[in-house]
Amino acid sequence: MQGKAGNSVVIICLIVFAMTVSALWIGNRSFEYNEGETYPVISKFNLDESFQVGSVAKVHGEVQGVYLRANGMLIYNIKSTDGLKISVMLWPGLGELEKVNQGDELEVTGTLGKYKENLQIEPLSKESIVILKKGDQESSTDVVKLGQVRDHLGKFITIGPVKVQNVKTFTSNAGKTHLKFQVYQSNYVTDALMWEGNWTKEDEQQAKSGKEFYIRAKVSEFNNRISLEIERLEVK
Amino acid sequence: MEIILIFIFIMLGFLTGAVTGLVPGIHVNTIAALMVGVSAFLLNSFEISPIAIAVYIASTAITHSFFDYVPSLFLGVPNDEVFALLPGQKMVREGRGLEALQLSVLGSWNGLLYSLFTIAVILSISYLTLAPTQGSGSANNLVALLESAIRPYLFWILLVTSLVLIITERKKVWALTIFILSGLFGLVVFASPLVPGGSSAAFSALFPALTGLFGVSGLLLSLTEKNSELPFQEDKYSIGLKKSEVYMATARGTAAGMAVGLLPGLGGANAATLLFIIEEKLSKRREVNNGENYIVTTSAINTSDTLFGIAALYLIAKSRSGASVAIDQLLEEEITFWVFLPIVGALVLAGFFAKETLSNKKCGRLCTKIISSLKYKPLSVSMIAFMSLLVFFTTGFWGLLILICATALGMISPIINVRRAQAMGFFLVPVMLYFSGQQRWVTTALALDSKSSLPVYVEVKQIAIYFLISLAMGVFTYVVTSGFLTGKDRI
Repeated sequence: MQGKAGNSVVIICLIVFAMTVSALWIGNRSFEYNEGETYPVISKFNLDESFQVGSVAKVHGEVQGVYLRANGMLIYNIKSTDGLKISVMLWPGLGELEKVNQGDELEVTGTLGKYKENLQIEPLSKESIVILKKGDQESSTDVVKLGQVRDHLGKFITIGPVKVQNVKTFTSNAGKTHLKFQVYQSNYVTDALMWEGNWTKEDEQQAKSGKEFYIRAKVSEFNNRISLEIERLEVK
Repeated sequence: MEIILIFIFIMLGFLTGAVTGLVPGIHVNTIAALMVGVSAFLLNSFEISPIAIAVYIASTAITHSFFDYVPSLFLGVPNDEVFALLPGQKMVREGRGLEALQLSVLGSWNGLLYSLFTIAVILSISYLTLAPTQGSGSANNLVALLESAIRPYLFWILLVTSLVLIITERKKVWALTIFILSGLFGLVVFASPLVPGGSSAAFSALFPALTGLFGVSGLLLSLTEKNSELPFQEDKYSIGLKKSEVYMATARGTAAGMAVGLLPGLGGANAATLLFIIEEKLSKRREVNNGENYIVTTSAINTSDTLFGIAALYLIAKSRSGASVAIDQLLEEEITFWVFLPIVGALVLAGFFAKETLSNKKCGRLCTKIISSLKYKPLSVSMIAFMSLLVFFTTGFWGLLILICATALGMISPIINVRRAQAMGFFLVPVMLYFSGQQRWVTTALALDSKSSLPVYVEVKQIAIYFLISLAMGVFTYVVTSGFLTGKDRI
């Protein structure tokens, strides 16, 4: 199709495209989830009968950690009052979000999922994340250099990129096995620890791989030396 | 028993792929959407092993990649691989259609073998040189290492690739416009909660979008084309290319197919365009782009893109094509080597059946005869009716609106002589935005914050009814329109 007829068809196509894409955009913006709909609240007690991958459910809990991946994926690790741990996966497509800190209490409505035996929930929209109560612990999702961690004493921060050395496990007097290592960046070296329950064999292997990581950790002090309580290791 | 079941499913996949490949205007991703629905039915109704169904999906995808060249040749309906049409059509006009078909079969089969050989070499070297990892579906292999090494630069790789594809067009401004509009459309569709069923549904918003961009738009435009009768086709099954030329063309195609099969957002059409641009720049030899080489290369790209798209699930634990998304959803767990093995077996067997069928003189002639005996315009109208109805039944009003939007956009490129592959901006722009790390504020700035659609349980019976009604309407439309859309409506 060439010439005038072709030009006319192109103009018609552009008009149809503009109108339909605008209608879709308006439809997206004005879309609201049915407020009358009740979704099951997932807890440790009803996990077996209520947890179904792909179904919609609610989760209540306190934020244990906030983690930002390099590609913009934000993760809130939350723990419900009955001890259920679940990660809230916030894809960057959700847009800008209200700042959430460690200790905040959240209610999230979303689609349930599972990755490597870890429970996950993807919020339906950013409006599906409701901050029920603000916690007192301040947390930052900005990436901090290892040399600046002392400024964040007592807080949860993301540090990186760092490398890991001297990876060892040790068993405490209480019989718990923790993962101990050192993280370094340029000339800075700091002791780090992953408490039992927070690390897996895979974390240990990752730590020994020689790769660079972003780490999410609470900055604490032990024997007048900075020590990092690592919550999560993420390969750069 | 399991082996017999797997073999049956390979045959079923082969038959499905042959039918879908022979029907014009059906995009391979449309098939993937249908396959998710069929898989759910088989899984729930007969409790068949997910591996058997994964084998079915892989067989369908690879067979489709062999057969979809037949309607492109003998019906002249623009498919998304518009780049491959011209040399093939030229040969058909010279009465060398069967030779063109043999070139395509040879390219596809060799592409399949070369791709498998490449994967075998990669895995063997990886096994000998790299330490195994535990608990990870993406085996510790060279491709996984390469992928993790280039991941931080993916935004730049995709940006440069897109820019090269745009600036090598004659109509650069139009090419850029189509690319950006497709990207904008992609962002709106991916952010949309309007089509119910959730992103993992059998018929998500992607179904109408891809059907419109690469299927209905081409069929609509083909209605305006004036075509001549199919000329007499020589009964020639030998090909005029030297073996070395075939090997080289296949190797180029396989390498390009592998690259786009493993990279996100890119498709076979992008690979072919890039390959020919690079070859034109590097070589002055005229035979590089002759018709025969072109057909072999593009067919090898198609097959290796399909194969690597599926293999990506095992090699890098990521889905890179419609078929791999379907398999990934089906298997849920990580794909181990022992799951990957029957899938590879299915790809080889289904590819072999496809090659043997199309190379067989009787079968080849029969396919050609059936296709060329169909009335081209009534068939296009009936396909439009079939797909529009299926979209409406499965995705509702909003799905139909997405189909209209995509069709309007998909029609522009061929009219203004811009490569149809620019519409891949639909995937490329959202993917680039994601890898740029800037998606969060950009989506908010454009008021395109995504919302998920709610999962809806659709009974398979319902899908079957929708499918049958749409099919019946398609056949009815063909019969009715055959009465008045006659005359010189074939190639």
